[in-house]
Amino acid sequence: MTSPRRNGGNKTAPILARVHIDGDTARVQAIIPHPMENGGRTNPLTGEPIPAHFITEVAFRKGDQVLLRADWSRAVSRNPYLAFRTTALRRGDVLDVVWRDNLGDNDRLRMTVE
Amino acid sequence: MKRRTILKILVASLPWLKPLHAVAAGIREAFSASSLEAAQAALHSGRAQVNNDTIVIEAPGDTVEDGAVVPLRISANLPGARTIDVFAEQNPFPLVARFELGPGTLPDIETRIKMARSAYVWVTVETDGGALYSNRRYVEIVGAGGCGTLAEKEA
Repeated sequence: MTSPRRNGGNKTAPILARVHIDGDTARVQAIIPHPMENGGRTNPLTGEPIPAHFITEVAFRKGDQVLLRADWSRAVSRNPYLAFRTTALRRGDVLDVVWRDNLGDNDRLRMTVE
Repeated sequence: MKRRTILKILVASLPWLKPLHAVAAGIREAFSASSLEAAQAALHSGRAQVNNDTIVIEAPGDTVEDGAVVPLRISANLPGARTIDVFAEQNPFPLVARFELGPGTLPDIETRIKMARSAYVWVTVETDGGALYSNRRYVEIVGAGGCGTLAEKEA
């Protein structure tokens, strides 16, 4: 089951995630559409500075159990890609992915591992 | 709008994003530090780090065309690894990311970072015992630096 949500006026697309099970190890891959603006760029059309807008925290959970949690700076690339391996995920588990950014926007994805 | 607000409150109230480990009251200070040494000090209070060659920092080849997207794979053969810190030494703010591994999660992470210019990428791994290990790899950026004009503005 997935429940992607689009951020109001933010035009951020849903989190993409998939899990590949190989023996007792799961490989989790995710792409989080996000501008990851570092605050140092200017709009070439208007000359206005583009405010910093970047994901500060992201977490992958199975129920109450945190698989991976990260704090990010503005130097993570646009539309962040993250992959990791864990022995704590099995087929049928429900995986939650959640992020929050420096402007208070957030999103989450819930999926069942197949 | 209402739904968005409710979801915001829901997500904010869940403990999902709270730190796993009682680290870094210094985390914000570490992210705003403008030198590798200051960032390391904020995270690890200047504790000694042992060079460890099982920490492998893979980048695509010896050079990267575009500093805006530097793909990295970071792995380590360190049982009990619980945090992984990633630094780009010549970025205006060298600390790029800090990862906390939950039980069963392996020290094997792929991500993509921005690098202002050619530099060492440093990785520090802390284990459950509190030991700190680090390694580095030089990544040469042959095209544009990846921080837009940030590097120039803040240099």
